[in-house]
Amino acid sequence: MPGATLSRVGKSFGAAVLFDGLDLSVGDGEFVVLVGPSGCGKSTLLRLIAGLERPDSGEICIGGRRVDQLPPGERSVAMVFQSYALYPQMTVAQNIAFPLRMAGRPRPQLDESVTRTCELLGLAELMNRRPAELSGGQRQRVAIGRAIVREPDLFLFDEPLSNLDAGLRAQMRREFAELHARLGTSTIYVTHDQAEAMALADRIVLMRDGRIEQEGAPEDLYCRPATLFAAEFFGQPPINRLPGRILRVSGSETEIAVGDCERIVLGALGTPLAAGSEVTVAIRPEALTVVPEGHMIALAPRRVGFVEWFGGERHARLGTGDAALVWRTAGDRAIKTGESIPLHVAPERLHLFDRDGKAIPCTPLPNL
Amino acid sequence: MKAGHAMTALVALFAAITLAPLLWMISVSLMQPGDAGQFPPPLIPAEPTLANYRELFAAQGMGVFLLNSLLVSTLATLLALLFTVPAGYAFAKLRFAGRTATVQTLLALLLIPGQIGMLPLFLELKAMGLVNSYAGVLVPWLAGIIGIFLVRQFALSIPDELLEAARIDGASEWDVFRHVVLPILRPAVATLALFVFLGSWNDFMWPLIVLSDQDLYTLPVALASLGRERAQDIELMMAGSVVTTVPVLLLFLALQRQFIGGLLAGSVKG
Repeated sequence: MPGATLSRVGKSFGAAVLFDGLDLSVGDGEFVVLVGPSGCGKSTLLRLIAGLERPDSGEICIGGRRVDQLPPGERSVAMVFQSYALYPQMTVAQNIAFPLRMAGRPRPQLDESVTRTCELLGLAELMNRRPAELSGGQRQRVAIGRAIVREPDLFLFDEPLSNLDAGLRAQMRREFAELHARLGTSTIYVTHDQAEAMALADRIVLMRDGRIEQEGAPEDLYCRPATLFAAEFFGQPPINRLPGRILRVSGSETEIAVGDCERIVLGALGTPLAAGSEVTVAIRPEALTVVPEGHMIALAPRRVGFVEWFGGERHARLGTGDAALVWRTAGDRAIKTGESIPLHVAPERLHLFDRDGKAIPCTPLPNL
Repeated sequence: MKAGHAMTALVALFAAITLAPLLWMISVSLMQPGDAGQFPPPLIPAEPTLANYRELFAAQGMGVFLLNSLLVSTLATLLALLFTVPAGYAFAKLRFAGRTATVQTLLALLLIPGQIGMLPLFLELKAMGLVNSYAGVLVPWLAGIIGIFLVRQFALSIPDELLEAARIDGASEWDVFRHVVLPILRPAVATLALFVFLGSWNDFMWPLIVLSDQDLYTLPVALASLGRERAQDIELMMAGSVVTTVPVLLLFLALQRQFIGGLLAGSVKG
């Protein structure tokens, strides 16, 4: 069974327990992105898989083989580091050849693999340069070349794009995606950038404090966040959150007071909550609209405070304090500071979370 | 621009002051016996001659001492590199029990002047039967603390990710050291080699204590013993000094680029 599995992995640093029985699996050819705020353990997890750290307990299998007691070089993994970690005194060709040399491949086969890899990555002209003579993007490509040349069972990427400027990052992101489509090797990619995660992943694993907060396809995490943390982690500008309180639960109808001025009525809640329970109502900025379609929930009009224009889109901040909302709309819509705008939201695009931040499934009102 | 010229002139002046005794040493070594004793002392030999050098090598056997010194210094350098470079790297980058304690102990030991250790070391070597042998002369050079720290400080600037990348690429610990670490440490290694070579070449006290057999003498010891007999022959003594000084000067000139790189190591991230 190719890919990789981690079962009940535990790891502590001194008295601090980071992982306590963590499970993770990567399917054959799957591109899994580990994402989370700094300190959540995503990089340590990658280092455990690579063999740079030893787990205290649990099992790690790569390509169907148990590897947790093997040294890094025998795990059939290749890793690309944030700093590229190119060998400074070696040329591009020597850097890429290094893993093959260590594996004792015969010279002709080695030369052929290196040449092929350089051509694949557009490095053919640069084979005799040293890393110091390369640009950031070229160094990144050499690091990738060194990883793919040995045809490992698993690729590990540790924030590989965070040292590049924005334009180059977008280009390299595209190249990663193309390369993965071409090679089809199972990949674990660590980043703290939610946009990068959504753009690249087959499956996102969102981590928080050494636990998996939620995992699934990017659309799942964005559209159906299991927790308030997940909801707030993805999306730019971040999701709007409004404080709410359950006013009334009667059969298939739930009435919620939002802030001081609004009441919204939803269908039955998936998790029964008593009247008086505090909840958080969360709405993505792009889910808000001025033009109601079908059975939308109307929100109280709010005054426009601050508007940012980005060409293709416009972000407006409406209302103040707890009731403030950010609305993302088309760039060509004129919005004047100070004008009062009534916004609407489709009930299925409204998220509810309980006091612990767990999502409460809710249905729109059936009779509307 | 004017300030630049003044600075150049100042530096040239200092260089001249530093170089003058060396140049005069060479000049005197080429004078006829007795010429340098006049007053005022002549700057340039009236009738240049190589007689002093002939006397040194033919009658005083300086050739043997030169070879002895070359042998001792070369061995001291190779042995010091063999033990010091891996030790410095290990202290910087490998995790093992007692690492910090050992580093601190070594640092503390730096406070003890080398002279204090000479007598106990001599007694130890005597018990081991190493007195009056080159093995005895070489022992203090095997693992100098300063050398270990020089390499360690340099090795600390190597990013861990580089070593980790090599390990993932399938390199053994030896491969990591040989293919990744050692090439990066090159300036530090060159600096250390020069330090040890210069130090052991110029070392006087220790070979004097350990070696009793005149055939084993190194240049400084031989020169001192020559001085005891021929102190009044200034020209001969100067020729001996030239023979002692010039090889290390040439070595320094050959390695100076590496050496300067080594001195700057760690100050600026390359």
